[in-house]
Amino acid sequence: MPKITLLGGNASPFTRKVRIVLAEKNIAYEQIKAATAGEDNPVIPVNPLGKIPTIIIDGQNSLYDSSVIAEYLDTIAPVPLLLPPPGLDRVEVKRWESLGDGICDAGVALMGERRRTVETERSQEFIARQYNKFERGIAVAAKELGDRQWCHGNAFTLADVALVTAIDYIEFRFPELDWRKRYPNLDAYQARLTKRPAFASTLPSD
Amino acid sequence: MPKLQLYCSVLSPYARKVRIVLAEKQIPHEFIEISASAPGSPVPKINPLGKVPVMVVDDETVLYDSGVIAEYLDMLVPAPSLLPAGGMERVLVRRWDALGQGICDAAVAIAHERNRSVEAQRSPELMAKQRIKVENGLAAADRDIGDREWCYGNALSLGDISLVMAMGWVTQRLPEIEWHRNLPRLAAYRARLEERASFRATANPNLTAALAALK
Ligand SMILES: N[C@@H](CCC(=O)N[C@@H](CS)C(=O)NCC(=O)O)C(=O)O
Ligand SMILES: N[C@@H](CCC(=O)N[C@@H](CS)C(=O)NCC(=O)O)C(=O)O
Repeated sequence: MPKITLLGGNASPFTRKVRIVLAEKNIAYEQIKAATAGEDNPVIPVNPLGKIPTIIIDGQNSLYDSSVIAEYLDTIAPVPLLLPPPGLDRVEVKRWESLGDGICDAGVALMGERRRTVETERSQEFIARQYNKFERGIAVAAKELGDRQWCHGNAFTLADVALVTAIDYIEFRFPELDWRKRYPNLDAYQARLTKRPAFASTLPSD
Repeated sequence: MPKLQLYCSVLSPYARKVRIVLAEKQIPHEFIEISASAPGSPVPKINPLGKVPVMVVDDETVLYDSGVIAEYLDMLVPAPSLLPAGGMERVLVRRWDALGQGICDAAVAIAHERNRSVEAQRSPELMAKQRIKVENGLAAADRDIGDREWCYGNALSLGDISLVMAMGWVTQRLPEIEWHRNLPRLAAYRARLEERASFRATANPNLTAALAALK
C-alpha cells in the first residue's frame, strides 16, 4: 500500500469525504491540517489550485480534487467498492456525488461571504442564491432517497459518503436550516449512517 | 440512442466542455440555449444546484455536472474514447480534468466578483487570490505537458478538453491575465487544439453579440 499524506482540516467537507473513504477502506494515512487562507498557502507547491483536500502519494505525486482522490482510493483498495465499474450505475453514483458536492460548494461559498472582513463587500443577493441552492439540493436529495436505505441501489457507495458529508456540513455551519425536522427520512438515514465508525470518527469540527 | 437534451448557455465554459465531447463523438442531441440565473429560468427546476450544463436523458434522468455528463457520454458512445477504462490511467486523466475545472472555477469567481452590481461589494483581495490560482494552474499545466502533444497519453482526452476550455475562457474573459506571453509553449498547445473541428464549432467567435443576446 502506498504511503498517503492527506492535506486538509476537519472543518472541510471535501476533506471529510476523503477521510470517510480512507476509514471505510482501512487505509492508514497521515493528515496535515493545512490552512489555505494565509499569505503562504502551503498547499500550492503540491496543488497549484491551493485547495484541500490534496493527497501526496509516496511523498511524490499529488492528486486532487476529492472526487479524483476517491476514485484513486477505490482503485488501490477496492474493498468495500464505492464506485460501480464504468457504466450507468457509476454515472448515477457520480450524479449523487455531484449533488452532495454542489451543496457543499454553496455552503463553502456562503461561509466565504460571511467571512468577508469588509462588511460592505457582502452581497445579500449572492447569499440568497447560495441558500436556494442548498435548500433545493436537500429537498431533491430527500425526495430521491425516499425510504430507501442507500442513495443508489442496494449498497453503500460514494453517493452516501457525499450526501452525508453535505447534510452534516449544512448542520455544522447552518444549524438554523434544521433539515432534520423538515426531512425526517434524511434524519433517519443520517443517524443510521453515522453509526458507521468511518462517519462517527470524522464529524466536522473547527 | 437515448433522447438527449442539453440545457446550457454558449457562454458557459463548462458547457463548452460537454459540447466538445458531443461533437467529438458526433452524438445527436437537442441544444437548449438558456441562462442559469436569468429570472424565471427553468434551470433550477431541472438541476437543484441551479447550474448549467445540465442534461436530461429520455425526459427522465437528469445529469450534472459537466464531468458526470462527459463520463456518461463516453460510456454511451465509446469512440473516440476520452477516458481510459479504469485504473491509474483514468485517475490521471480525471486529475487533468480537475486542474482545468479548478482554473476555470477561479476565473469564473473573478468574473462574478467583477460583475457584482454594487461596486463596494467587490473584493480586490478575493480577486487577487483567485488570480493566483489561475496563474499557478496554467504554469503547472505548462510544466507538466512540456513539449508533448497531449496532456495524457497519445490521444485527445477529457483532460485536454478541460484545459483548453479553461484557457479559452480565461483568454476571452480575463484578457488582462496575458498568460500566453509567459507560457508560449502552452499557448501553442492550446492554439493547435483550438483548430480541431469540435473546438472550432464550440468557440465563441463573437462574444459581444453573445453577451448582448443574453440581455
Ligand atoms: N472541488 C473541490 C473543492 C475543494 C474546496 O473547495 N476546498 C476548500 C475547502 S473546503 C478550499 O480548499 N478552499 C481554499 C481555497 O479555495 O483557497 C473538491 O471536491 O475537492
Ligand atoms: N462544476 C460545474 C460548474 C457549472 C457552473 O458553475 N456553471 C455556471 C455557468 S458557467 C452556472 O450555471 N452558474 C449559475 C449559478 O451558479 O447560479 C460543472 O462543471 O458543470
